[in-house]
Amino acid sequence: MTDDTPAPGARSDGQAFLVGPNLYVRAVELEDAATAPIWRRQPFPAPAEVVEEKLKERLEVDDGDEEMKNQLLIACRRDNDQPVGSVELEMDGWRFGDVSFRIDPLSTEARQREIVAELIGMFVPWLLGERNLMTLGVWDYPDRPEVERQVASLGGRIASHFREMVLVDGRRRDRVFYQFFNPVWLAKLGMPAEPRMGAVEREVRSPARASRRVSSSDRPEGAMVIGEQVYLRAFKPDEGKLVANWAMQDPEVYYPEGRLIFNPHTYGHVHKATAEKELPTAIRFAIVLRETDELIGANGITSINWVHRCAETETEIYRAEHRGAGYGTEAKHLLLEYAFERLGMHMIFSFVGETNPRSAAALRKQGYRDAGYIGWDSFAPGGLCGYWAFDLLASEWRAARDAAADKAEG
Amino acid sequence: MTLGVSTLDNQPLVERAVADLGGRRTSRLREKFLVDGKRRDEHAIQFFNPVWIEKLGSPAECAEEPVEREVRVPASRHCSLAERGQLASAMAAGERIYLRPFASGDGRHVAELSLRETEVVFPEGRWVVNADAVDRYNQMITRADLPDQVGLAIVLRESDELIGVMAVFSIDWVHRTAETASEILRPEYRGGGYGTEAKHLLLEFAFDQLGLHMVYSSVSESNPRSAAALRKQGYRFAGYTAWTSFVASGLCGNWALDMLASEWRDARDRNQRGNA
Repeated sequence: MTDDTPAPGARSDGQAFLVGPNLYVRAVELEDAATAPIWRRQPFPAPAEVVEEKLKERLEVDDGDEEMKNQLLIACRRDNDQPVGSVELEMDGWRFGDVSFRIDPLSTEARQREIVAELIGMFVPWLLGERNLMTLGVWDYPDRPEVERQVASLGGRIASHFREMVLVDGRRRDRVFYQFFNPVWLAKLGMPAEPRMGAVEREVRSPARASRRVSSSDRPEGAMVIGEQVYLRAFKPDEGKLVANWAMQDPEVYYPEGRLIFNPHTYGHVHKATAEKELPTAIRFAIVLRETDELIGANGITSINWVHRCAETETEIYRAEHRGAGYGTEAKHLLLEYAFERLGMHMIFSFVGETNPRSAAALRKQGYRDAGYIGWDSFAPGGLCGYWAFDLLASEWRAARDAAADKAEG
Repeated sequence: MTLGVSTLDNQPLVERAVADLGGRRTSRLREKFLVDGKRRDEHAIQFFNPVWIEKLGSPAECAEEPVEREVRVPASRHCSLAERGQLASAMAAGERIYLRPFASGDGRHVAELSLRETEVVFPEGRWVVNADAVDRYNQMITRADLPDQVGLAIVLRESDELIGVMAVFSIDWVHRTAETASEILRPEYRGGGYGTEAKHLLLEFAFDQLGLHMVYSSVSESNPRSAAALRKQGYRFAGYTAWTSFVASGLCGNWALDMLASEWRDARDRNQRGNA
């Protein structure tokens, strides 16, 4: 202990921001490795030496701004400086920020709620009022009255609600994403559209049909899941050239960032790198026409969380002549069958920019439920646009598929 | 001498082929695989070289236990910690013990305890443990973002003394299964319920935090006490694989045991209701 070391409980004395009645927040330190089970997001035990190594990998960046874009902060008690959890602060430029918490899993639910409420009370005024973010998102669990009261008092709202997204103490729990808007920008732009939460009971206009089983002589080369008109196989890296070429010929603009130039080598390399991992966090398929073996698109699951068994889905159909013909929906259901039946995913979610209403409509037909709307996400021709969120449980997808199969048989 | 083959349940053609070739099913691990959205059992099949059958005789067969069974020592809920205090490194806490990640220096304790071991429970006997190798190994397995094994130290709450080690390994994140193992290193803490308390904390971690669907364990028949402990904890005897190790009298086999997350939770919840 050096002369500069504060006495226990005195560390936050003089701290001028990110300090509340009971807690304060500071940057993570290598010494925090010793208390990793309290704050570390990963659920796995690790010796302090390994945690410290991982912290160094994260913190020893060549550009200080890199650390500021994705900060790991530790929340501590003011009375004894003991950590109670951590905060991940992700900044998208200086316009949009995203905060999530990991509170000591061995504390009671009531204590966790109190801590989260106090932390929200610190971060929202700091990030909107001082750091001038246009909008801030905060992840939490629903049905926490202390947190809901704090959110309401700060003018926030639920932007999205994903059902059964995570596994906590043996139970599936939903996740909510609260959104707060900077009042200065509200005065200029008005409040963004209200989020829409779809009903759980809903009609599925294009449910799945079971994939095909074929003999080895009928099996398309490399096929992993086979439908009636399309099949899914691994993407070949040299197909990047085709995709890059088609992207330059695409007449439609559906992303808020407009049409993009793809580097064919990079596009191919990304697929190769993704497939090299033993247990990947992203999986991508080429969508191929059965009749001609022609590549028409790609789809995949990303942000795979193998513990919580949830992932995000995405699809692109490369050429306009193949859109709106049902290929995307058939390919999506093959992907969902793979995700739910082979990988054991419990639920999936998806995000669609509001500049792409056709994609949103397709998801609804496929059975996804509207899970909300996040405003002011991207620049768009009219100023700013947001994106819609969707979710889908494995159980729902199966129920719709089985009901459709029964109906077809009946 | 012997060949093992793993197959899925409910495959009559396979079963006939096995019988025709003189093999037998040795164990059934329930719901071990996810196939086309359904949980399927794993059948372990064993074939014996007839030359060795002639020399040694056919090994014993052991029937698996029924699914409906008594769990003599079910889990209790873990302890929440209002104050972390000395338990800052705990991943799970029970009444008398807690589980924490391995720390540098644990290798030395394990090495010392291994040299003081008075009981011979493994078929390969007692062995000399290298402290540095233990520490390095414990660090290596935790570097992966998604590890295929997880090790934990068993520590007395009262004294912070390391008394044992345990692990979940061969984790299959797609099928959501893993093997469990544990060892109480200090003989004075065996038979006192510490191992069972620690095992239930491990199972809670495996089922409730990692979302595993089922676990299994393999116990040498030279270690009947361990097998008895697992059955008290709720594991089901799933079969026996013969001729797996050399022992003083020749060859011995391994018992296989399995447990579903749903069974473990049901037993725990009944226990809680009973105590309420």
